[in-house]
Amino acid sequence: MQIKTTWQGFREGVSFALPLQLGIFPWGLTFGLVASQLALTAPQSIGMSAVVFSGTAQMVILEFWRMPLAWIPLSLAVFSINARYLLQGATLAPWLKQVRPIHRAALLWPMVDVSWATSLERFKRNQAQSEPADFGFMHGMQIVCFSSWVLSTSAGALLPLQGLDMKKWGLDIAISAVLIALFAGNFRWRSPLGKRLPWRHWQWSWPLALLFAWLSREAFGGHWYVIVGGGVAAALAAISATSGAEPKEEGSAS
Amino acid sequence: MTSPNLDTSSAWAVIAAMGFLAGAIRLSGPWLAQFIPQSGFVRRWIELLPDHLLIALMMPVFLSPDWRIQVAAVAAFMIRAVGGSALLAMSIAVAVLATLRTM
Repeated sequence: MQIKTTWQGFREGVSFALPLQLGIFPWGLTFGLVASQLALTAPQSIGMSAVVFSGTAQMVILEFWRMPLAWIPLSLAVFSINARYLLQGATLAPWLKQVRPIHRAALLWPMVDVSWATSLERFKRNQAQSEPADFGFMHGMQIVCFSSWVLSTSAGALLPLQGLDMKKWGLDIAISAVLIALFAGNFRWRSPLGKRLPWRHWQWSWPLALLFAWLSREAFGGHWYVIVGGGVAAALAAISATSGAEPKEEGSAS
Repeated sequence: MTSPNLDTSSAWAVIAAMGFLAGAIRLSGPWLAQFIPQSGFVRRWIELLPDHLLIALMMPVFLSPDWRIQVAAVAAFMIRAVGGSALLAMSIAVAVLATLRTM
C-alpha cells in the first residue's frame, strides 16, 4: 500500500472536521463545567483534556475524583472505555506499518472514532483506486478535533456558563450521525431504482453486531459493548466466509 | 459528591496516569497487529472488523429508548444512502432531532 502525507490532505481533513465541532464543542464545554463544579482547577481540567483526550473516559475519571483514590477500578474503567482504539489501530496497521514510529504515534495518539472511521474509509477508497493513502487528512482532522476539545474545555472551565443544554439543539447526535453516515456510504445508492440496491449488500452479521452490543451492555454495562458486539459479530462472519459458506459480499467498506 | 477532594499532587498524578493509559491503548493497536496472523480467519476478521465496530458504536443510538433519536439516526442514514454528504447527513439529523424535541 502506498502512502503519502500532503498539505492538501491536511487541508481536506481540516475542512471535513470543522463542521463536526458542532458536536464536539458542547461536550467539551460540559466537561469543563462539570469539572469546575467538582473543584478541579482550570489547569487540571484543561490538562486532563489535553492528555487523556477522551470525553467519556474523562467523565468517568471525575466519578472517581475523591480520596482515597480507587486506582484499579478507575484504570479498568478507562481501559474498557478506550479498548476499542486497540482494534481500531489494528485495522489501520497495513498503512501505519510503513511510517516511522514517531509519525505513527503522532497519528494514533489523537485518534478518535470519527477520525478513525473517516480516514479508514478514505484509505480503502484510495487503495481500490490504486492511489496512495494521504495521512495529511488524518492529521488535519485530529488537530481540529484536539484543538476544539481543549478550547471548549477551557471555555467551560473559565467562563460563567450555566444551563448549557446541547440536547435542546439536537447536538448530542452530531457525532453519531457522522458515524452512521460513514456506514451508510457502503450502500452507494445511485438512484431510487439504481443498480446497487441496499439489500444486495446486506451482511447478515450486521444486525448481530447490534444485538451482541446490546446484550453486552445489558450484561456487563460500561463500554465493552463496542468490542464484544463488533468483535463477536465480525468473528462469526469471518468463520462463515473462510469456511466457504457464503460468497464474498460486495459494496461493504472493505 | 461530598467526599474529600484530591490534593494537587494526587490530581496531577491521576491526570498523568490516565493520560498515559489512554495513550498506550491508542498506540498499541498496530503493535499488537504484527502478532496477528495475516491469513485465513484472522485476516478476514480484521477486514470485517471496521463495519462491525461502527455498528456496535452506533448501537446506543439505534436502540435508544427515545424514538426521536432513532428517527434522527434513520434520517442520517437515508440522506447518506441517497448520495448526500456525511456533513449534510449530520446537519439533517441534528435539525430533525432538535425539531422533534420541540414538539
